[in-house]
Amino acid sequence: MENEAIRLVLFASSSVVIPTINKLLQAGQLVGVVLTARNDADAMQLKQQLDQGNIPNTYYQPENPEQMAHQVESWRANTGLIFTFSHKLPLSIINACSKGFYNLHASALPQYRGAMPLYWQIRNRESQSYLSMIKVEEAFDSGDIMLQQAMPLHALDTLNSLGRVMAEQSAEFVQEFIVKLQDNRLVAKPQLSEIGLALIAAPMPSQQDLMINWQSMNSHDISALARAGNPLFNGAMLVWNQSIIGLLQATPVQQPNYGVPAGTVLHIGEPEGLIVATLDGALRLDVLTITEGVFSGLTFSERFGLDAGILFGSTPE
Amino acid sequence: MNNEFAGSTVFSTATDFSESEISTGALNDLLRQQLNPTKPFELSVTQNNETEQNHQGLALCVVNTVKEILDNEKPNVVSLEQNLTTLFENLHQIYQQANIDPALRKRQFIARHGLVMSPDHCITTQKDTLRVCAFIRGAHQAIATLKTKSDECLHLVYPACGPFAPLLLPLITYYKETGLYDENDLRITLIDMQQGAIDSLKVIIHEMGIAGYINDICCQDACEYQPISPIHMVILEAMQHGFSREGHLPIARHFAALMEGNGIFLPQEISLRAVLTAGQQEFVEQWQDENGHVCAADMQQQTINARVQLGEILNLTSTSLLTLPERVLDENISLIECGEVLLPELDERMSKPLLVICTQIKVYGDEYIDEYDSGITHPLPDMHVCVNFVPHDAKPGDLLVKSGDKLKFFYRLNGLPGFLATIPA
Repeated sequence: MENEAIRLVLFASSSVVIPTINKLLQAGQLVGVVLTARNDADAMQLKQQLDQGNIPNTYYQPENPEQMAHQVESWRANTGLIFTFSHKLPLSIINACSKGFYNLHASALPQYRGAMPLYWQIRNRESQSYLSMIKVEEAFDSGDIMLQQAMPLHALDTLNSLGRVMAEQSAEFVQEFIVKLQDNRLVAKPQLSEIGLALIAAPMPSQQDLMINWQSMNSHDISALARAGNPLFNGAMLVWNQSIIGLLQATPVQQPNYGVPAGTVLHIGEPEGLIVATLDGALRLDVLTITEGVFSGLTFSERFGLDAGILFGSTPE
Repeated sequence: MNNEFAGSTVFSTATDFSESEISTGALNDLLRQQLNPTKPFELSVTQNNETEQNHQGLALCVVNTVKEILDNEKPNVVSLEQNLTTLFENLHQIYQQANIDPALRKRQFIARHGLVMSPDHCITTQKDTLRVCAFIRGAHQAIATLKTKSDECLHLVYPACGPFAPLLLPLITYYKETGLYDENDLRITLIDMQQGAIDSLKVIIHEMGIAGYINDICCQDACEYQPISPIHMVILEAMQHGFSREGHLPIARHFAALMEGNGIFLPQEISLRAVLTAGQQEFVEQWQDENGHVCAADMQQQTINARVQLGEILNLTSTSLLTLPERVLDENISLIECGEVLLPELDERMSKPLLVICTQIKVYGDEYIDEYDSGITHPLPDMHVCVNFVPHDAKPGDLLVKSGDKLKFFYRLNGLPGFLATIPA
């Protein structure tokens, strides 16, 4: 068994897997890719790359898992890898690969178990992320950890910049995993949380999750919230004149807030920019986005008549 | 300035000045020149003396406006609005041509003592008819009063004056042009935090030809100003409706302590009252037939009668400013203790009464700015105080009270000053 060549089927939905695909192709290990029915730009890019490279691919049909199991068998895949794939796979597919089915998850599981681990790690201002390769079980993200590797998380990372780091690092990580799998050098470890440490979930953020809460978040919390949602969720959300505005980038600044409520616009002007009071000081709103476009804080203020003293997130006095 | 403007100005000024007891030779020459149909004002200006001609045109406009204000105890609002609009357009043109850095014109921020509006936002005060009228008339009377007591040169200080110093500079220009008071009679200090306002003032003063009256133009927080010479009169207006947001109170308190004992503080008195009213009737229905024009004189008696007067919660004079009881909460916030009022039983027709803070400004003598006369005296609703009802969508800071309860008011001094209603302990 150890000497059987790896024939890997990849279940994916995002272009961040492209470096991994390239590595697998170079090693002659990729037999096919299963895509989700997502049709956003990111998913379309992946589909386009696969077609251009004549890489066998097909769309997953959740209502017809047996057909998918047959497809895996027809590719003579012996290893399954799930990477950026949101559907839960039935046992009939999981059991179709003799060398097992594995899931690459971007966190130190069991922390940040869920669909959006990078989002929540940026938002929670983690200083380091992880790549975890786990054995696929019937329950989501619950299998044993086969391999784990630290991944740097820069203090200014956005969802996409960290995603790009993950894309590059995961290509090497998957190769290391395959080598160890072939050599039978993997040691399965159960997912254990540190005693007394609460588990942090990483679900897809809801609309409420994206909202800035001026009463509970400090400057660094809001800055991280904006980066975590940049660009997929239009950053963090703030309310003005009953409209929702996306905050793509914000920077904590040294500016006295003179005891005004958090969320109050403290300053509009060059060179300092658009500055808002927070619980612990002040925050410069660098980049804002609305339907009309993407604006610097200052340009937004001028174009839409924002005034110092107005309060974001509730009715001005 | 265009020919149409010059013509209308000449006509009304000539009419007014035929009855005036004060005029200057230079001004009369200008009037004669303007009246000559073969030599329209604009066309007679040569490139070389353009500045002088512009000054004369502006001076004429100012004199015309101020004369109308001073000559009429009850202003003809329509006529005065036209004159102030013309004056504003003249000043605005100068302001736009002054090459002030746009960043300095647009900058707005919250400072220690309140909101500091951008110079671009401040300039329209010149068009606020009844506010300008009351202050010009009040200042004129106050100066006359001070002059009856002393022959010394009066030192007038106008803190937070903005880019046009609109409540005083037109009067000074009028004095210059008419010769009523000269540079030995009055010296003016102008103070503003905004460099853009300072840059504007220098140009406006030059164009108005009143540089000789100016003692100093200071770019600083008015609360940090220390005079070199005694202050005989202070003119201050730095507030928004409900006496909120801007730093009038801390600036007034600072200058009340600096002023000479027999000096005059304008406004002489500001009265803030708590009132319960029916919001829809107060802010919508009573103005439906007014075509957007509102003032105290046009308030409906029915609305006035329906109001419940809770009482005065703060009265500011140059004397009371010196004895305001203050509680310091932290380095950024302190509270001025204000009045306490009783919430009476209410007519059942007033199901969701709205608490409003009403402002009356006594500028000087009989010169008042009443409710709705100006943007700064519009009643300010406090949506957080819910009297005899529970709001459907409760918000942080809501205060639920009922008839029979008392409301104790404080005036919050921080970056955004304003009243705070509380339930007394």
